[in-house]
Amino acid sequence: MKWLKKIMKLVCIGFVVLALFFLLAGKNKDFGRKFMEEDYGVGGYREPDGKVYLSGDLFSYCRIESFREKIIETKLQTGTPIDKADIILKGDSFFNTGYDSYPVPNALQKITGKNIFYLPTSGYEITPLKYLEKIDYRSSAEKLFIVETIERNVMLRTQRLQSDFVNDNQDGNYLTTDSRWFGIKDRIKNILFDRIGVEYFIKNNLIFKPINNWFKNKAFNWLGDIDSKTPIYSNNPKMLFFDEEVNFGKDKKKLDSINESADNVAKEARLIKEKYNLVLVYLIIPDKLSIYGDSVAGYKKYDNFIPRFQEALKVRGVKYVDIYQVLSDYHNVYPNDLLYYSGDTHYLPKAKELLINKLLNSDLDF
Amino acid sequence: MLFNSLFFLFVFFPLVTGVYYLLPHKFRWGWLLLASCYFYMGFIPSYILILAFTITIDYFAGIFIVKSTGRKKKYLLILSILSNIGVLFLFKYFNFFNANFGALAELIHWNYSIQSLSLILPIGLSFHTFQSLSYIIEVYRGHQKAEYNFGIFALYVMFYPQLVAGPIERPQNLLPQFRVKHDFKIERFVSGLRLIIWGLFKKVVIADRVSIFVNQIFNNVQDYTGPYFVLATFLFAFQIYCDFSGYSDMARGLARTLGFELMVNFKAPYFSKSISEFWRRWHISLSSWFRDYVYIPLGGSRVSSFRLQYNLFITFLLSGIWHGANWTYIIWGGLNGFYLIFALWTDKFGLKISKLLRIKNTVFDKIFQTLITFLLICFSWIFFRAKSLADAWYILKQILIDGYNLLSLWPFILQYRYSFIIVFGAIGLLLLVDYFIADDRRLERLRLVPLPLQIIFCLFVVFLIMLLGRFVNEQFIYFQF
Repeated sequence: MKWLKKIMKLVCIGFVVLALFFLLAGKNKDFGRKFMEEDYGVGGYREPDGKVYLSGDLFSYCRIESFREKIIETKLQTGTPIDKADIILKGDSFFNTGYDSYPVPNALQKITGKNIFYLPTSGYEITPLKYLEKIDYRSSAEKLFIVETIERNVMLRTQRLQSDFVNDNQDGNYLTTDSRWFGIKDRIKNILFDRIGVEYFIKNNLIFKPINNWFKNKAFNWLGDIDSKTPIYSNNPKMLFFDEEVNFGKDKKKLDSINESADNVAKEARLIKEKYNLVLVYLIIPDKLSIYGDSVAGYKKYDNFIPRFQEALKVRGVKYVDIYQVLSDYHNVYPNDLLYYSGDTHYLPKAKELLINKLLNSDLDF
Repeated sequence: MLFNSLFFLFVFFPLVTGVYYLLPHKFRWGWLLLASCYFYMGFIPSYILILAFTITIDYFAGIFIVKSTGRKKKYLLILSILSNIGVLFLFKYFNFFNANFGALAELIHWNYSIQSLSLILPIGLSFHTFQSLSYIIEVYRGHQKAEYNFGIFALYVMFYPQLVAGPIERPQNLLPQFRVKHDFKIERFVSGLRLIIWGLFKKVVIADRVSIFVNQIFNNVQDYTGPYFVLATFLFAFQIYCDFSGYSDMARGLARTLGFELMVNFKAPYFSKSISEFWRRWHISLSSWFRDYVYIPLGGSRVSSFRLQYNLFITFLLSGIWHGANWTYIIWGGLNGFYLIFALWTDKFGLKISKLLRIKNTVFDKIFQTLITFLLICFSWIFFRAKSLADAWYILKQILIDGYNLLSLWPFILQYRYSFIIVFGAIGLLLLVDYFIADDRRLERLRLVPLPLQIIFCLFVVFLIMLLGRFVNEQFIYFQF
């Protein structure tokens, strides 16, 4: 039995060493990267031809090979300062991304020949008005301020507007105690208790990632099972849907909340016009599910959130551009001509082209 | 830190267990205490101070109780109980009572203006409070010697496998085990791993998968109709069972890999043929706690019929309050108490009926009783899961209106058909295993299954976990209690 004890002791030591390795590689990113695939961005990979492609944000959640995309990304080019701009744009990833095409601000600048300033929205942190106040924007000739937002974030972003109006000083200094002490405390807490890096390394190291991918693909192929981040999908056309848009689609958007949100946008539009002589234009990009929901077995009918919200904006005199109608009409006429990527939340160049055409052909003064 | 997190499974568990066996015996309890502190601090680090406060009071209370007699002994017991319950009340119940007093005051136009507290409930507070109370009461009764080693006493309260969601251990079972040298035994270690695997299967394959539907329906009650609530209640019955018993299995398995034996907390409860049997199989460590420290001191069953009913009702009402500061839990506890009282009233009548129909002890009788018990428990789960009493009433109303119309669920099931196939398949496997666990003789037969077959089954379960597990760091439901 002595030899068995020795073996078990070695196994114990092996497990301890492995656990320590995971800990070290997860905490020390430079060391950890040596045991992971090279990072090329969200779902990015390098083909044998040496080119880097993106395989789609939704693909990177579910890892089902049949949904893998081959996207070439064009980076956003910025340059025009806000005071020299003819048009101001603010938008989320639907404006930022240049998937197989130019990002919207660059494309618009190229087509119209006008100077465009672009302000990216990340999260819900800053409203147009707050931003203008922050940079102390000087009012000049009337300009367009186009605010783009994805459908699933409309309510979150517009409800937040109200709290910004109510509590103007919320972004002020809230750290009244010695921030140096807080820095040290947070760093110690981070070193000891932050497990995100370690878990990421365990999931994505060179050995576990292929195993994990194999299981994900088998679960999908054998049982149709898929990651909870992409809880539903369609096979014809092949489409993954993001859990945030699925949940937003399920939510009942009551008229009261739509009106409250529209009130906030109208208030923002009025203040921007009064203070800075800017005309706010609201632009909602439909969720993929709002266009392709009918291809998912058992999915309930679209609740017409965008038309309802736009109607509320119209009543309040807020300008908007109806992209939903353009995309859904196109989808009805050419159902086989896709408007969104299968393995990504974003639209295809065709939808972007329709969007830009709609903008240019609208009654807005470009 | 969650048992189903990758950090726990690939770093914490192997590191703690491996180092534990590599260390000499005299350092092991210290290592386990350190690991348990780290485990607890993974939630909110500063809350360890609350735990340290109650541990210190109970440690000294235990020592002084042993040394005292008469009134002084009683006062020390009361002091210790009050400090434990005080912390529990402050964090868990203050806002509930405050809000209800406020509502009552408004009703009688009384100026009541005590503000609510914005405190986060320390994880597993009710569990370790009850474990500490168990120690103090047992020391007071003279059934347990006071623990003089502060570190070992702290480890008794904080032992990481059962710190945040039980089983609520008794000092007689757990404390002596810290002094015993546990050599590495391969059979025991493998048996511990088996429990961990089975618990993980219940949690990540069943509970976390089912929770998507259950949360969607119970959190948005106005959007759904009767059939959805029937489905969600049925699924919740399995979610809560798999979530909690999965945790308990993992806790027992983790302890066993270190050489410790924790009490069995679940024994195939949905195979119970009566409500009283259900409570002997469900959350056994809590049921027995209430039996030993509330029900029996109240007089137990050796009292008049009325008093017996009173004792049962009070015990279950307290059990409901233990689960949470919400009227839904109180109603849930009261309902279970009522079930037991109702069973007392109708026991003889039921017996007569089954004799008359000549079905007593037949398979039909057993299946019928099991189904009725399951349905009654499901009914009580509605109150347990609903976010408020208003939601619970709404759900019941909707079930009464068109709960029978289960065919209307078809589009919903079609949309999530793959998930439902997996869920029902996994529940089938769970019930198959529980069928053997439910009966001691069957369980013995299960233990006689050749080792290679047991290993194949375990590997199959590991395969299912990797194939179908949802590793989304979903917290265990009972952590909030």
